[in-house]
Amino acid sequence: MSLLRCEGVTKYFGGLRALDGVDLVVDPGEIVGLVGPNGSGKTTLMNAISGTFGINAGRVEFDGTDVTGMRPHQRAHLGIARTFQIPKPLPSLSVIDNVALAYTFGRDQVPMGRARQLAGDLLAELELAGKALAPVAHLNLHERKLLGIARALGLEPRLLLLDEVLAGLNPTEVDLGLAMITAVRDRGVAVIYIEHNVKAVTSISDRLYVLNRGTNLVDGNPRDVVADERVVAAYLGDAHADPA
Amino acid sequence: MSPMQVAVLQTIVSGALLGTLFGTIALGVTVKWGLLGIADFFHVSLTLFGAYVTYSLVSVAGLHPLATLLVTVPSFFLLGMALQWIFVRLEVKLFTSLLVTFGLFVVAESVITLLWSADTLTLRPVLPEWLTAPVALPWPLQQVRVLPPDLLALVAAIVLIGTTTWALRATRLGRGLHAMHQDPGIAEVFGVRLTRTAVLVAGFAAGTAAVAGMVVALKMPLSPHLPLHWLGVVVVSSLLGGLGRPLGALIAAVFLMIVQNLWALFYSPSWAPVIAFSFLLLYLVLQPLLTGRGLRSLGGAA
Repeated sequence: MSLLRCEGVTKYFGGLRALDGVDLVVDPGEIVGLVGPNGSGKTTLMNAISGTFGINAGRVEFDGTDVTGMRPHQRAHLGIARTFQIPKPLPSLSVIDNVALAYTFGRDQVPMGRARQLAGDLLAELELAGKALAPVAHLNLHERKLLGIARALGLEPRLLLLDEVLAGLNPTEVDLGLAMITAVRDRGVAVIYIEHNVKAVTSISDRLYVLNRGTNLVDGNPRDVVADERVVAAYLGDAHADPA
Repeated sequence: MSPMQVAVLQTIVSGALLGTLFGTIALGVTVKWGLLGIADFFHVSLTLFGAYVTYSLVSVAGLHPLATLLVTVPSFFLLGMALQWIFVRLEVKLFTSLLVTFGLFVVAESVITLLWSADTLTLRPVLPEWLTAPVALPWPLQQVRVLPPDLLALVAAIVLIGTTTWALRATRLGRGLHAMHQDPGIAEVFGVRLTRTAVLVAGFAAGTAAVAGMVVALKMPLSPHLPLHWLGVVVVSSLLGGLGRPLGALIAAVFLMIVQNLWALFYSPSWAPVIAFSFLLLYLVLQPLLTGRGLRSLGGAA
């Protein structure tokens, strides 16, 4: 059975149709890439899955449970975790306490002392242990993004939503990031991965979805999808898609 | 010691103890304002309401003053939770909370007058002697006398503010509250139940109002307009202490009441309230210069 099933997800912002009947399926333990031009609705779909806002029509089902009307914290408790395009650590807490927060309030509601231990272990795995006690203000962008992922993993999720976690990083950091996302998948966590860097996302995704103007454009095997002329047209304009 | 020295010492001690009572009242205000974003003027009325309920439970129902807490604290807890639940439902923000709770503040005075009359009521005649007889402080302050309710105020302040300060740091609820205060959207994505956290915190704040009310009933004659006199000191202490910091509010309240009492000893007592507001003005003028943060801090503790 699929882990996540979105059916006909529709979201209006005033008169703007940000999502118009989007379908998406994620199976346990797979990396699903989500790409599309700016404004195609990728982040909106992520918000609809994590529950940041309600949707106008459609249905989101997680592990057989209809979560369409659920609050974000309820979805977090079921095992949906996410990162943000702009990492938003809580400034008054140290790095480790930011991660511990997720353990404390997440799926298992770990007691605070134990949460801190687990957070420490996780930071060590992500090679952030050296900054564990530092205030979040001392982190650079790469480290902030890692913290965002660590915090999401602290919820001990079954589905991890990654929103452009590699944007703004240098090539070495991108490679490390891709290896880490694969490692997360290998732990049995399904991943939806939004990325502008099509090459990066193609290299690690098991399947790829392309959104355009709030609708499904193409989905399937990453290599076939990026070669699809509709995808090229959406990104570059019709002229480039014309084989002539 | 010369009589003047004794008078000054006595004034400082009484002021400090009165300050602990205001610190206890300010506890609820500073936590709700600083961390929930609710500027709750009604909290001060709730304290007086607690005092009147204590009065009735002791004088009419014949309860032991401390035993009244078993009735007032849980019922106020529920009242505070219910009120906050409505606030959440109505999506009350900082500014609207100011208007709404000020409205409740005005209504509360009328309701209290309606229920208990505008006459001054005092528990003093029915209180046992151990609650009314002045006590001498130990050496070297043996010439200073304090009243037992004042000591009760001190104990209440230490217990409640100590517990709150610890809970804000070391408990799940405190952690969740801080996270929610900094970024509700993020907190919720990471599993914090926003409504439940806010409602529990508001319930706790109302519970502290019940305790402060008990101390008030034992300490002073009750009349419906008292909150108007308290409001200045409570709000100023909350601001001076740094919103969301109960210990800061307590220290500020103690400091303000010592200064006010000393002023009243040497100059006209009717001018004493000006002191608190002068400090607030000074603080508001100087704070942006000192911290470079501008007046944004009024929106809550950093």
